[in-house]
Amino acid sequence: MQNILNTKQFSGKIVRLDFVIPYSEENRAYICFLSDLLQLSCQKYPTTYDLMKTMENLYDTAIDFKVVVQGDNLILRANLLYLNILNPDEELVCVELLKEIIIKPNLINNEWNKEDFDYVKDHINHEYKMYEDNHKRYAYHEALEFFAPQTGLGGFPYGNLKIISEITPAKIAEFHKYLLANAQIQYFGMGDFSDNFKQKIKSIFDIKMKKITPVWCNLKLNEKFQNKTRALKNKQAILHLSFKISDMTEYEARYVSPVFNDLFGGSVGTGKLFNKVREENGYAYYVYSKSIAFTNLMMVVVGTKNKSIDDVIRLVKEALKEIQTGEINEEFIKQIIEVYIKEIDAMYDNPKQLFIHFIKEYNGIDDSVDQQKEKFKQITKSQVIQFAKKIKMDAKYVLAGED
Amino acid sequence: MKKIFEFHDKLPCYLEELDNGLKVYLIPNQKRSTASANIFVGLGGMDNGYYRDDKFIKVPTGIAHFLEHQLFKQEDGEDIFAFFDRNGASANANTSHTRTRYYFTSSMNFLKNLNKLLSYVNEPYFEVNSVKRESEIILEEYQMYMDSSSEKIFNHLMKNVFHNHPLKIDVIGKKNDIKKITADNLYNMHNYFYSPNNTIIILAGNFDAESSLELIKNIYQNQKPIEIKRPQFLEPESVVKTRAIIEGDNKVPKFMLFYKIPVVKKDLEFYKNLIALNIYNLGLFGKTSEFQVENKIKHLIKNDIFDTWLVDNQLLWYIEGESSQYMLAINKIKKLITTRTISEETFERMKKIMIASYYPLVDKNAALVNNVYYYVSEYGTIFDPIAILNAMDYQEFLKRINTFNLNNSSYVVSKAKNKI
Repeated sequence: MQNILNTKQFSGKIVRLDFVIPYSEENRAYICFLSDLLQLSCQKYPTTYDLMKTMENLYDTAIDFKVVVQGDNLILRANLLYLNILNPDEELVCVELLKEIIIKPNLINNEWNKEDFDYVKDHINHEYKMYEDNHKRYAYHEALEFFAPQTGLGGFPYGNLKIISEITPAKIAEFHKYLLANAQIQYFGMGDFSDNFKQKIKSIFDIKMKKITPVWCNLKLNEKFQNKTRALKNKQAILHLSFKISDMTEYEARYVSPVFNDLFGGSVGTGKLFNKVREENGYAYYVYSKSIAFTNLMMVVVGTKNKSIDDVIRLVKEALKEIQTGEINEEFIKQIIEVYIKEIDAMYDNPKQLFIHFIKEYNGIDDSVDQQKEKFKQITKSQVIQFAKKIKMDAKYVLAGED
Repeated sequence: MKKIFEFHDKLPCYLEELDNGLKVYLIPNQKRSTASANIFVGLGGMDNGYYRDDKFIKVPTGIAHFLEHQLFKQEDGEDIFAFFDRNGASANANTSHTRTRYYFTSSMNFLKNLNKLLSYVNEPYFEVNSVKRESEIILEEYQMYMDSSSEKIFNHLMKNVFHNHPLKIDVIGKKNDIKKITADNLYNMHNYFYSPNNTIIILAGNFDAESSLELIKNIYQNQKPIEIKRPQFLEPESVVKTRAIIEGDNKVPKFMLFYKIPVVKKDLEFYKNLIALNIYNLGLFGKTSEFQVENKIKHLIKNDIFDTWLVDNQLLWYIEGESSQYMLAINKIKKLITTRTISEETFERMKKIMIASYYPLVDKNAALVNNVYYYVSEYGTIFDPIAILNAMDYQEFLKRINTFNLNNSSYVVSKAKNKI
């Protein structure tokens, strides 16, 4: 299968490099630190000003780095976004720039340059101080850490603060070397690429591509219901509920689970929670359920009053019970499936989604578009009920409100 | 249907204007798999009353937003969201200071969905119990916003900037007002503001223009226009208060600084001036600015945002960020703004950034719709920013940035109680 998706659908082009290493708490802290460092300079453009100026002159070509956790994999993702309409002769300059930034960092005596290092360290310290400030985001991250500890899914987004505090310019330079030597590397492209360009990009990266499939994170069901409450100065309480899905098959995860989530906690209209919690009782402005990718964890998130929490939990249980006992309209399931099938076609209007699907399909994480449509069509009411029966609530995390 | 504009990849934009004043903009694009339909009604958070027999009838604040929520409720109890879900569409609505927007995006049944959108926006049903329940939901939404320090700073700053302009009223309304809104209030506001001459419809993407237009005409052509009047007020150029420090629970002080710039006339000249101001803004505070070079070493300000916001007859240039040295940061920013210059080399580079930002617009229906609405609601026509940017030279830029009055500014800092 090709790793370049040729399409004339969009104005710009994207080239992506993924560096994949096994997840560990230490790797997470280091890779997050490195991700921030890489976008500041490189050997050829030793100051942030030089590097940014170069990109601005290339019609604001952008290179962004992101850290992603997929099951047991930790990924450093570098995206190059640029327009060829305005500078067709400089396509290769853009791709080579991406390579320069990643391969040849601005080191001094085998240590990361101090200016960039200090800047990132200060930035992370600042983000940590501000971590609690966005209550919704904080509660979500902390709830995830409580429900799925040490998986890299929750907690402070830069990782363990103690590990971060021990990172030095020499250690991060070592980690960079380790990453280049040990990570599995993939590159992908999407846009209107010429054959000549595809050949050149291949020679620039010189990577033997192979599929990378993460191992799912299978979380154990808590034997006893777990409960954690934290209080900040927020007026509204934010309730998170953890549900574990036992023995979930790949088919269920990819197809039945999204349909179930629409029926259960779809954020508008179709969801039982939306209707019971918000529309019928006015307990909340937002309520939704969400499956956490590459895990067997599902969460319900609600912003409500402290005094309504028990009522909300009762309604959540009631909604789940209704699905488990078949109180769902078969016609409704068919309509949801039809929407999913149409959404697969709609993906061709969204460059980001299309590219993500393309990469997932390459790695065998997604089926092809035709297979997806076929498999959605196969979903039955009894499959949804069976899936619902595998779901058990086992914990709650509350960021208590003042009211 | 008249072609009024062509985007850079030859994508056309058509306009059909009905006798009753309804304007319909159509941007058909067969390259897309989906289509987006949008109704913009000129009723926003700053409208808190209507005229009857030349008399202004005041209603509780937050009514435009409440109305947006309540329009989704149907007389027959049909769930509008479920309808759109069933028909392959994703629908929603939102309210700003100046308008309310209802929209859906779909990859199937476009006409059926369009029909539903047009009907529910035009056929209100406000039932007493439902209105009461909705106020509970909106109070939860209110509470959610009140938990955001950025939202609190913004609302406080709007009150410190505007003396009389209704922009100082929060879109969601006052807590006590939300509870007071009645079904009658909602009907009266709907009857007055949801008139064809106060509505703009924009369709973009893969849809059939002829049949869509026919459907829109069928629903709107018999509606009569209403002369929309708003209370007159005099807004001085000055701000109410130049500075304020409010209590927050944020660990690092957060601030927002507004420059209040009155807008006399919104025309092509003003638009070119605004483009020049945006170049200046990027040159002063963008990634390669001297400000950011220094900031990287001195760690003065984090998570900074700087942009301009044109709303009603006001232009706000805003800068926000997080800083424990916030006074140093604010003074530095204010000093830079008064220089009214960037180098010619910087000007040329910032032009490139701005030109590049307009190209991907045609890739997304939603971005196109927002863009078209911005132009037609603010200027009554669509301008070509790429052509304007290409034609602008350094001397013209310097001349244009000097047209703005930058004497009136106000800032609000939110910090923890023990640090005030």
